[in-house]
Amino acid sequence: MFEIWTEKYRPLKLDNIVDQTHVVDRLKSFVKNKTIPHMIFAGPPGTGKTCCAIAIARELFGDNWRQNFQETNASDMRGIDVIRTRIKNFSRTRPIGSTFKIIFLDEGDALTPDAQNALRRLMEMYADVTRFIISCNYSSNIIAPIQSRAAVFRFKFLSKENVFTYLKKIVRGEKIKIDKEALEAIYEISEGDLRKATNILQASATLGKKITKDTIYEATAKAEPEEVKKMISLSLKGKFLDAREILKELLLKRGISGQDIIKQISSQVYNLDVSETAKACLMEKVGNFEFRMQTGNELIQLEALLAQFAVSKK
Amino acid sequence: MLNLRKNMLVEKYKPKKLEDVISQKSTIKTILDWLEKWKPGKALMLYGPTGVGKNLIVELISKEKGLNLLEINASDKRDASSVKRLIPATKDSSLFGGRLILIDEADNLSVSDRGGSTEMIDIIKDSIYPVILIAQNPYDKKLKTLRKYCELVKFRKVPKNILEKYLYDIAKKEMKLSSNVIREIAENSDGDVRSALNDLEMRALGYRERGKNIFETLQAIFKGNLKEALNAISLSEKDLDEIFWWVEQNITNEYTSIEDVANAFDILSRADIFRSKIYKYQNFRFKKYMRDMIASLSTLEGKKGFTMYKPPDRFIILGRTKAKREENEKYYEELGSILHCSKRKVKDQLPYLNIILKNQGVVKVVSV
Repeated sequence: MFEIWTEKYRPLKLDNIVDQTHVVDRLKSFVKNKTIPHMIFAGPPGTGKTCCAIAIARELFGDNWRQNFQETNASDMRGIDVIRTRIKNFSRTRPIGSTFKIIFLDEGDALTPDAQNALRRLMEMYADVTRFIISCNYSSNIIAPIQSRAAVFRFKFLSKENVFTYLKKIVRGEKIKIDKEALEAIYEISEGDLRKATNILQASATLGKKITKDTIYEATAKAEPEEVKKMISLSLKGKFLDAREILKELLLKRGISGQDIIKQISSQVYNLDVSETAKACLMEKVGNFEFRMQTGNELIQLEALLAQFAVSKK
Repeated sequence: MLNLRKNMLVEKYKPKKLEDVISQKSTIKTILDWLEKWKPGKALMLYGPTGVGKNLIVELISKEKGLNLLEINASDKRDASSVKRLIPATKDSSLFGGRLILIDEADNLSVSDRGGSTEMIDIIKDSIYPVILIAQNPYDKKLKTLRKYCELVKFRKVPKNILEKYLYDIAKKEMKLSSNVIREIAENSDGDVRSALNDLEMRALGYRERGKNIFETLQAIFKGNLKEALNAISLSEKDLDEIFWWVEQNITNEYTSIEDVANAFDILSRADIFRSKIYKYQNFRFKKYMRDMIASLSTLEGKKGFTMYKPPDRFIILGRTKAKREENEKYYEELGSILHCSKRKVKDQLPYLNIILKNQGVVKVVSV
């Protein structure tokens, strides 16, 4: 069995959740009364939404928690069918050794409006035996009727100090060494996402027991395929066809997500060999196409972006 | 007029015996062997391209084996209760010899056919007569459970040279057509005998009523004016989504200046937003705007003269890498359930996870 630190060091009790005290305090009072309402956990990735859901299930259900806790990732199955079949079936089964059970819908904002409406009915029909916890990045993507049936909890970005405290705990547990600069680097790259920060730390630790800023950058460079850089520089030279070839290789053959690629493009823009004005202009374009990609097809949108890069020099 | 149907080549040359069917010898043998060894509880599912003889062969087999063919197809209502009504016929023994049950277009259950699939399974389980199903796509997720009760038999396209010879023999008796035209028909038909025969007939009659093919459509979009482009799209044989991907592939063949390429992709990228809304929200009103955006490519100046248009490679690449990608998806899902996160988040973290896992000697690492 392999060991992933995000799991090994996942806080199992509400008391151990990093920060988010305004949420945790209220959750604890629910646990004390042995009941919870339907809830929406809104907030940026890696700030403890899943952790809180698991922790609350463990504290409410004890050793039986897995029997009364169903976790479904809405982004993987976002259609109405999943709601009508899987979720519905679990909603109506009796809880075991408890008065209710919990369905945790991760990334609920990925559900189509149709699916959300179906979900809303389930929330009413089986409220006597089932509580829903819906996590999302923005609560505004959840339809109003669901919002009004649930208590909304907003998770904050984690502060640097909190991220450091958590990482240091892992560092002690794993008996590795890390300096302040390296911690800063992890924080900067992870943008306060604790899942990502932990993964970066573990990936860096594979390179040596003593972690410095350079180790971090080495690990993240390994994690970023060279092809993205090459693709950008080709299109900036006006060699659109070659750049597009790489894009198709990454997206279609290797199955890398468009989101990943555009994130890397945006992180490269400021390192490009173009004028400051051009950088600003390119950044706006990247933003524009990342925005379009939220609804559109990844290939088309990235092709269009690369074509914009290709004309920018002229 | 009365005998129009009978006079059509498709009817006239419809094979009367199994041995007359072209190019499906081994498939026929598989089906006959299956019938020979058939025991209740298991059905046969035939699939493959259209017009290669799936229905025909079942018909001929029932005829030659002296079985009464009981058929249900998409024109029948196939919700649970309608399918249920058939069950008696699959259970009582008949005085007039055996029966063969054929469920045609098994994957073509519509929304109103809810429950039909479960009932079909019941039929398969309980029928005292052999059941054969025909499906376009046996891997459709609606057929997932049904498939477990079926043995699959794949029909292949009729090879071009065999089809060409077949058409040639018919043409010799019926009409005057040059062998070039016949070859062209055989090539265009993509192994579909039925459509090839219809084409042959139309050619012989001297006219062909057909939509604009994709090359004409692209030509109008890239080189025509807005009106011609709109017109070509609405008359095209291909649907809007296919045209969209053909355009994507050929923008760089049509436009030589990078400015035009960038403009064209920008237009396509905006058309794509409508396209996604159509699929995500099933809002077909947006199709109009998607069409208009694609047609507006005609406002850019295309290449003078002839452009060689190529089919979209996206589907070819996706097809070739499908197995690999599916394997990866399964792996992401597994990882996701261990790490309490979605496939999307797994993918997000994959570069780091790969480094971590590789270091721990985990063999199965997905390539990034």
